[in-house]
Amino acid sequence: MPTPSHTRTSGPAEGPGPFRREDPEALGLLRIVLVAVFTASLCTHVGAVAEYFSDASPLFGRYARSAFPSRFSLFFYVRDPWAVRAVFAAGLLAHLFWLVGLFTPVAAAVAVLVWISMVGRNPLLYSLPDQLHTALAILLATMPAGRGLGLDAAWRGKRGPVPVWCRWLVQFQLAVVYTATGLLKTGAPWREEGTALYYALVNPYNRHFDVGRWLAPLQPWLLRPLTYLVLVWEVAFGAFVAQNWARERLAGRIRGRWGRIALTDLRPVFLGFGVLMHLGIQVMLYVAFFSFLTVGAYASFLEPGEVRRLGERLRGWRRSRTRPRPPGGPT
Amino acid sequence: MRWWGRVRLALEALWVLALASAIVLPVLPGEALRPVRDVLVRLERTVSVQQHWAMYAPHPQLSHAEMVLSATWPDGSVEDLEEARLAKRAFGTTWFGRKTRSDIWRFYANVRPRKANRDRAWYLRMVCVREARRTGVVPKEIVMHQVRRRFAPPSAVRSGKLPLGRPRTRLVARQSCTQRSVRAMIDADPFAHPNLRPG
Repeated sequence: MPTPSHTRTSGPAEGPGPFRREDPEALGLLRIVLVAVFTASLCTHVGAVAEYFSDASPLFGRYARSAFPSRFSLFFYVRDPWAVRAVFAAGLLAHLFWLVGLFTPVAAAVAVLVWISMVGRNPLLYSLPDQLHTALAILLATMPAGRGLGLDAAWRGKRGPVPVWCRWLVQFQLAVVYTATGLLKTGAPWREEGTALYYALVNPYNRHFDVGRWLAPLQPWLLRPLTYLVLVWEVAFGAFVAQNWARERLAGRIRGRWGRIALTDLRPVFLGFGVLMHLGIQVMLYVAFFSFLTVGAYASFLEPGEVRRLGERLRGWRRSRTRPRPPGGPT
Repeated sequence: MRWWGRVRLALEALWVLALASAIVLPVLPGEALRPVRDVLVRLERTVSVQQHWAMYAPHPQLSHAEMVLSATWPDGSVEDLEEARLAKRAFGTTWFGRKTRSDIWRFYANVRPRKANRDRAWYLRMVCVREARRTGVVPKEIVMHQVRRRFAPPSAVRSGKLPLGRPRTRLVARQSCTQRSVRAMIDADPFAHPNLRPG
């Protein structure tokens, strides 16, 4: 049975597909998870801000601009080390405001401006996890993500419905990341040999453990099947997202056995595999915040009713923890 | 739905379409899309967005290379630089906190050793400035070697081979620090060593 909305609707509540409005808590949770990772990633710059982005860098001033002529950065104009530190501090503060959902649109704009200025000032300090960070940060900043689970909603009366497309676009971004990279994996280690995971795990550039000798015996019966499984999962992720949109939109409307099969909730399978894969990557390899970002972005697959139930469960658990226990009861 | 509701919905649809296009167009293949794709990629690059996703594609690295830099000073002496020290411990393991963002910069400067690499050229110029700042003397040149170790296939490792092949070193580049453009960069350095400040 559909859960009644707790939200006053200001838009076309029954608009077509992605333009429907929904309760803002799911998007609010997504904001909290992603911005927490953005903030953690930002904090790793502390102590090296001037060295990376100001004229204290050996690649300074107009020379930095000549090295990266296609980029925009505030730090091509703000160059004094202390001024750069001040801008960074403002960016950090903006991230904290974005995290708690206070003055969210402005905070998000400032946070993204500072982040893209950092990347633009020297893109060679950034790699693939940061590429996903930038894409998700800009995407999230374009959304009304402060309307739920934030101080704008709680203190400033800004709670309101949000369009479904906000969560769907983040899902779409994930689908493009996985499917594009899966389709580009055409080399022999992925297709013919099934050795790709082995090579990834022995690379000293980012391996946590030097275990090549133990991995080689596992190759034929563990790493090889896993290599193929990862490849299939990545390529199929786009289809999963399309199926998930159809399921969200049509659940309860399609009747018949085949309709029910087509709209089966595949999230436990696809996202469960993704979580395990990223957990494995995180344990075995140094990938900065990539695993946290991607798994954090999985929060976009949670629907408002599920987030509400999660919240109720958490509140119930907290109440049961704080309730005084009767004397002589179980400890 | 009233007319302004329809207009709002149409504008919203355009906005969503623009965002979705920004995500997917850069990765779509096909010559027909090339003009639009090129413009979009250029626009996105301005704000440091890259929608090119190729993790471990077309295949993961089959070897790992580290740069080894040395400076030749005006008196003819040669000194191994920080990069050479880092390269010695770069074939072990790594953990959060041990890696810095400069490691990523070195990685980019190290790719395509046989071809021209703009990132490498700027890295080596930066090293000229860095060393002049550190010592107060402008190095004559910076020499870049690369140490590469291939990864043995798992079947070979099962037969007793070591997972990492033996190191092979090759000369990659020489950067003169006295070349006019680099010397101008050193002279313009606002944080130059006191020995190198004018007056």
